[in-house]
Order: sequence, then C-alpha cells, then structure tokens
Amino acid sequence: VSFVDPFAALAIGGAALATLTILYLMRRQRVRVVVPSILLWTKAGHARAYSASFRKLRRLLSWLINAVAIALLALAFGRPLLAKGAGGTGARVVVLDASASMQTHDPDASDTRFAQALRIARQITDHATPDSPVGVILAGAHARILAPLEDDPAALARALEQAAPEDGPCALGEALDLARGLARAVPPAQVVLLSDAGQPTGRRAASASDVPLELVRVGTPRPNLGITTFAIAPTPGTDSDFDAVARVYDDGPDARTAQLLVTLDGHPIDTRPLSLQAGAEQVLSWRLDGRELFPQGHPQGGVLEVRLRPTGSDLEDALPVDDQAYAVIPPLQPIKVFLRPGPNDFFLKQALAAAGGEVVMVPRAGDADVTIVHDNGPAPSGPALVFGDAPVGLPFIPGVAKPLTDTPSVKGWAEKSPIMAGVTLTDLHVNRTRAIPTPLPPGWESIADSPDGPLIVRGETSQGTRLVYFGFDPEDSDLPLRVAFPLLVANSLSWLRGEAPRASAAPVAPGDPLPVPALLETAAQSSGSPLTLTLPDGTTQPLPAGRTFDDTIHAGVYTVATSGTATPPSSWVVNVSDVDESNVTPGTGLGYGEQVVTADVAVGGSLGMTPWRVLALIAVALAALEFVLARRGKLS
Amino acid sequence: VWPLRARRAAVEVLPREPPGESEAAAELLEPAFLARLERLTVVAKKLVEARRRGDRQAPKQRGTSLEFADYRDYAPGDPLRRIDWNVYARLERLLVRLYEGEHDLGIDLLIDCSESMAFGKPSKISEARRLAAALAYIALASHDRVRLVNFAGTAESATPLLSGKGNAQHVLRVLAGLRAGGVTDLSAAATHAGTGRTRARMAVILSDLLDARGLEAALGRLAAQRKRCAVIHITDETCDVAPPLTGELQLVDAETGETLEVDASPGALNQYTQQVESYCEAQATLCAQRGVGYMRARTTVPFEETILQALRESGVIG
Repeated sequence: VSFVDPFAALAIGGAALATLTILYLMRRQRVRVVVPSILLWTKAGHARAYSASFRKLRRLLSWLINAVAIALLALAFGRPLLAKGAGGTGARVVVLDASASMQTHDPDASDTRFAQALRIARQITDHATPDSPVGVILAGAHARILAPLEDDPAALARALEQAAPEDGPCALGEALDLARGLARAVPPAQVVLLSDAGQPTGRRAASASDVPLELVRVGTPRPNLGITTFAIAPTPGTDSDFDAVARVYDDGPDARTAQLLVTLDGHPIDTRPLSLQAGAEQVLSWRLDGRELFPQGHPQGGVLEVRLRPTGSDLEDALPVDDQAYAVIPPLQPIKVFLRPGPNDFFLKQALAAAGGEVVMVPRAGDADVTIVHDNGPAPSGPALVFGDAPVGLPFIPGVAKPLTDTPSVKGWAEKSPIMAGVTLTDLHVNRTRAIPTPLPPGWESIADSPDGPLIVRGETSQGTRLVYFGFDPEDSDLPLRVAFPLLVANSLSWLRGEAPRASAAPVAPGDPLPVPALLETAAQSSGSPLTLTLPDGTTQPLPAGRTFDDTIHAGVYTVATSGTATPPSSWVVNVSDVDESNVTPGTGLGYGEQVVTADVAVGGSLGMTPWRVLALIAVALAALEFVLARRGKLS
Repeated sequence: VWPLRARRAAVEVLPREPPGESEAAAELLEPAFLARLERLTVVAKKLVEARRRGDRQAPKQRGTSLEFADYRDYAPGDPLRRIDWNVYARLERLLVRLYEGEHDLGIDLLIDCSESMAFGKPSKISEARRLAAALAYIALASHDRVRLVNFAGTAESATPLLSGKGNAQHVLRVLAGLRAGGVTDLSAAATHAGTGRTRARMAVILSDLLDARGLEAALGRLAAQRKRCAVIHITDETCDVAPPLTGELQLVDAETGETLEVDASPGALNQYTQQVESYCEAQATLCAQRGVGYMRARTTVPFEETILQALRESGVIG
C-alpha cells in the first residue's frame, strides 16, 4: 500500500489522535446531581462495578473505536494506493505524465502533481519481481522509455530519478502505445498511467485498448491564470513594425484581475491590467514600432517577454510556468541580391520589391548573397536562383523547352520544404518548361513536379554552392499573378543565403529541434570555433556542427551563437502556450482505444485502487456506532 | 461521546419542594381539602362499619381475643396455625384469621420529615401530610385518639394524644407546618412512640424508608411497646423509582451529603429500578413477618385512593 499524500495522512491522523487521547486523559468533571438518597444506588452492585475496572474498559473501548475511526479517516486523506501484491504476475508499465500541468502545486499535498506521481511510481516499482517486472515510460513531448521491463527495484528507482516534468503537452498516445507494446512481453500485462488526466475531452489517448489500463489521477482543482498564446509578426505594409498578440486564460471558478508586463530584452515597455472572467480568455494586442524599439536598427533582433502577475485579493496561481511567454523579433539582416539583367524581369522585380527591407539590390555579383539568373550566361560563383535557361555549371543539363499540355501543370510539391513554406501551387498553369533529367544528382531534390517530371529543384553543386532551378520562365506561366510568387522568391532567397525560411522567428514547440541556420553552421566551420547554445536557465553548452538539438523541453529562450565571426546569434523561444495545459483542473477520465477509462478505476486489473471512499465510509460508520453505543450507555 | 461535553457543577435534576412556605402545605388548611376529608371519612366509615360489628370497637388485633374479626391474605412469616384450612379447602386460598380486641385505640402517626421526603412531584412530604391528615381526621371522627410525631434525625411529638373531631383543625395546622430537613431515623421515631404519659395502641409510620439503619430495628422497638403497627411506604416514581438521569454522574445524598459516582446508562438505571422494587418487596416481607401492615403509597396516586385501599385491602388500618 502506498499513499498519494502521506504527509496529509500523517499530519491529520497525528493531530486528531493526539487531540482525542488528550481529551480522554483529561480529568472529567462529573455532573453532580442531588438525589434523595444514595442508599439504593449503593445497594445496586452495578454502580460499584461501573466505577472501577469495567468503566475503565468501556472508556478504553470507546477510545479505541474513535482512534480506529480517526486512523481510517487519516488513511483516506492520504489516498492510499493499493498496489498489486508481491504474489501477482505479469508486466506492469508505469507511464508518467510529464506535461506542464503536472507542475501544478497542490497545497493539499504540499507538493507538485509530478512529485506525487513519482511517489506512487516508486511504490509500484518497489514490487517488481521476476514474475512481475515493471517498466517506466516518461510521457513528455515525446515518449521516452526510462526503464524497460525490469525486476530490480533499485534499477527502477535510479530510472525514476531521471524523470522530470516538461513545459509542454505530452505525447500521451505515443506513450501509451509504447507502454502497450512493452507490457505485452510478459502477460498478463497492465499499464498504469499516473496523470492529472487533463487531456481534452474526446481525445483518444491510444490507438487500442488491448492492454488493461489503470488511470491513477493526481491533483485537485486549483485556480490558475495562464498565457495561452503569444505571437509576433511583421506588420504588413511596413518595414519595421510588428504586431504582437497575447491570450490570457482564467482557469478557475472566479473572476480574477492581473497585470501583464511586457519587456524587450529585459526592459519594460508596457503593462496592461487584465480583468478575467472565470473560464474565459482575454485577448491583448500591441503594435510595436520598430524604429522606436530599435533606434539604431535591429541587426541583432530582440526577445519580447510577457509576464503575468495576479493582482487583487487572490494572488494564488497554481502553475507558474505558464505565466510567462516569449517571442523573438528577428534580426533585420537584408539579403543582398544581384539581379542579372534580362528581358522578362518585371514580375521578378515586383516580387523582390514586395520583400520590403528584407532584400537589398546590389549592382555587382561579387557583393551579393544571392544572384538571380534567367539567361544562359555563365553560371554565378555563389548561390543562385535560376529561371528557365540553364547556365553552364549545373550538375545536370536541362532539355529544350517544351509545352506542357496537361492542366493543371503541377501534380504535387514538397510542402515541408522551406522553400515551399506557405506556398500553394494548386491549378498553376505553365506553358512551357525545360525537361529536368531524372534521377536527380545526389543532394538534389524536386520541390514541385509536373506530370512529365520535375518543375522546380534545389540542391548544391559539387563546390557546395546552393542553387534553386525553375525549369520554366515565370513569364511562361501564371505564377507571377499568384500570391505564391513573391513568397516563393523570398523563401528561395532565404534558403539560398543559408537561413531558415521566414518562419524562423516562430516559437519552437516543446521537444522540437532548434532549426539552426546553415549560415551559423557555416560561419562556425569557417571560424573554427564551435557553436554555443545558451539554455533558458542561462547555462551554455557547445553545439557540435551538424548536431540537432531537440531537448527543448523547458520554456524560455534558446540562443545559438558563434564566436569570432560577425554572424549574429539566432534565438528561438519555447512557450507552454497551451490552453489544455493552463487548464489544470484534473480530468475524470481518458479515452483509451475504444474505451473511456475513469480515474481510479481499473479497466481489467486491480492495480492502483485508491479506496479512500471506502475507508472514509467505514470511519464514519464506526464513529456513528460509537455514538449510538455511547448514547445507549454501552460505551463511555 | 466526547469527554469534555457538559461536565460542570451540581445540578438540580429531580423535582424538590423548596424550603419555607409551601403551597402543598397550605392546601391542608383550605376548606376544599377539609371537604375532601369529610367525604373520605364517610366512605371510610362505611368500609370500617362493614368490617366491624359496632362503633368504638378496637381494631383487629391478632391473638388478643378469641372473637373472630376478619380474614386477610397469608404473607410469608405468618404463623401457620393462624391459617384457616377450611377456607383453603373451599377456596384454595391461604387466608389468615384475625381476631378483635376490646381496647380503646390511640394512634401515633409517625411522619418522616427527613430531607429525602422533600423530593417528588408532588413531594413525598406533602403526600405524607395529606395521608396523615386523612388518617387523623378519620380517627378523630371515629372517636379515636391521635398523636402526631415528626422525625428527622430526632423525633418529637408535634401534638399530644388528641381526641374528638374538634381537634381536626389543630391537627391540620400542625401538619401544614411540617417541613422536610434532616436525616431519616426510624428507630428514633419508634423509640419516641414509646414515650408519653398515655401511650397509643397503634403506630403508623409514614416514610420513604430511606434509612441506612433499616426498618427492622424500628419495628422491633414498636413491637416491644406492644403496639400494633402499620407502615405506609411513600415513593415517588420520578425521584425514587426511575429517575431521569443519564451520563456519568456524581450523586449527592440530600440527607448526608455523601457522594457516589455512577454511570447512569439506561442499563444501569434499569438495574437501579429493579433494586428499588426489590427493596420495597423486602420491606413488605419484613412487615408481613412481623405482622405489620404494609402499604405502598405512590405520590402520583390521589391520597383518598391510597387511604381507601389501605382500609379495604391491605389491612393497614381498620
């Protein structure tokens, strides 16, 4: 038997038992009643008997019944967890919910929900035997096996020490599927989920329910304010302004007031009072003038932070981690473009002009980051965006231009490619295109295909120079008339220069890898110094070139920088920003395959029953019995 | 359930006649009460006439005359030779023959005025006053002599032997002045009954019999004085038989101040009630063994009924 909240059981039980004992030990002052004579009372033998040992026995019995009732109540407050006994067999896989809401502090338990879950998990792992091995899975941003099926409680305890909550939602379905697969190795299998069951209603947490699931819920409802959204984007039509928007959610039974403090790189720039209705969101927005914020320009960019602070009479906030959110204002570092003159570059110039301050035209190819070519002249030495006529130097030789008869001309495109971010080519019509030979050379990929073959490809030459090749001239299609065209050009320029696409300033979801730009890696390689990663807690660590960093499980600002080069550092933010995590009210059940598992009730096993209601009921019944017996004179 | 619940100083749970002026005592002097006595006397005389052959005859007295007077039920302790076996053969009922004496009757009414008599609703002392008034009135109306003796610790004559109905008002005034207080001492009362220049032939004890020294000694002394005796045992249902007590109590004896700790649970109270009934039966048995009439008078029963029952059935008086 383990306890979800042993401290409550000890504190309440100890205090109540001590009080009860003191009350029973205190000298009683009997009621003095004047009677005509005590002659016949004295003659009645029972009076003497009750005055001596029997009366003491009755008092002791009364104390015992009350003490047992109090002990049972204390046990109920401790929420005992009946683990499967040592004699049971079969694998048990414990899934620890490591989502942000598990960091909620429960004053009743004097601890966080995750700490409570860990205690329960330890009680379960202590019962591991060769016939009944236990595995542990941490359900964070990604499911992670902390311990495979193991019969050594010490090894399991060491595995549990690695468990820590994260600052985002958890991949519960992935974790349960993993647990099911792990548990099936030693039947009869069972999965024990330790969670606050805060999954959105109706979401299925696992693909099947072939392994019984016991949902042990931790946590009690707490009031919480949280920032569920914070985002920033350039203001359309301007070259230096930004729009910021924040959503604040009140997950509690009462209306609350709060203050939202906005800082830029640690310097306050605004405060907003909030008046939140219970269970409702409030949206706030800002228009930030880049020239005011960055009088000297912003080649380094900046980090905008909003921080929530409850005001009024109720300052309690159950989950601090969702009280702040960050956004990166990307550095303004224009791409220097050289456009080799050609006959049909009207729409191209328009697309470059639409990029605003992000693109600067330079007169010489030697000064450019990217060269745009739409003729068959000599190939540029650096990165190039090539349209139609292929210059010499491509790793493949395009065929002659032929008309495309099929409509639409595009049968598919690489949606996940950074060049195609936000781009849609549906119903695009291309008159003529050059045939790009397939298969493509190594390191090249097609990012848009016609029925006859690739239309747009990207890749690197043998010298490591990036190229994007359009097999058709835009003038021979309706692409320049589409919104996608300037976006496609801008994405291509960013990729060619070695940056992530325009979405680089967007927050990184917890657990996702940092999109370190190739520019930084190249700069680091050229300077010979490694990249340095600064974590939200201020610690730094080297980031080897080519290595992906995906341990972004804590909210805050992650910065990657190089030393010894002029390349500015890149920053990303990780926010909780999830209304389901800010909603810290524990759930009552969980969709599991085709079933709905109710908290505290096993689907197919008896592991993890929390019979506190039964204990409380017995305690009340005992107290009532003692009361009735005392009223009838059977007890003291 | 909880030990600290309501445990405080002494409380007056049982009904008790307050000291000083008493409405119950003043009742004796009211014309209405006198009228009740008069009516009772008429009924009583008829009863007595039915059991006597002539006016001013001595009451039944065992063994002092060969003249048969009456029967009464056999009680444990009666000599077997007094049982009328012929009646038993006919009725299958044990009856004892009673014989009549030829002496004048003087009655000592020994009235318990101890503190325990103040309890009850109505109080036992008021019941004793009414019963004594009725007995005295009937006796005076029957030309018998009456003396009032009150006792509580010590005994003293409240009146000398009086005769004639003209003394009835005086007797009632004396009775109305009796108050409860002191310790029950039946022996002292019995001893005092043997004093005086002219001795009564009969003694009637009106008491709750809550005397630690017991009734037996008192009856022995009265027997030594060759008096006919009768005991009217006054009990109160609330205070003596089934007191409304509960919880863990410290009982305080109203007469002696002694204390006793008891747990007044329903079971314990039931046992106590049984003890009271056993005690009453023991007193009745003792009286029967000594040829003493015994009558239990409950305060809830009208005194006329008690008197008539005493005259009709119990052989206490008549």
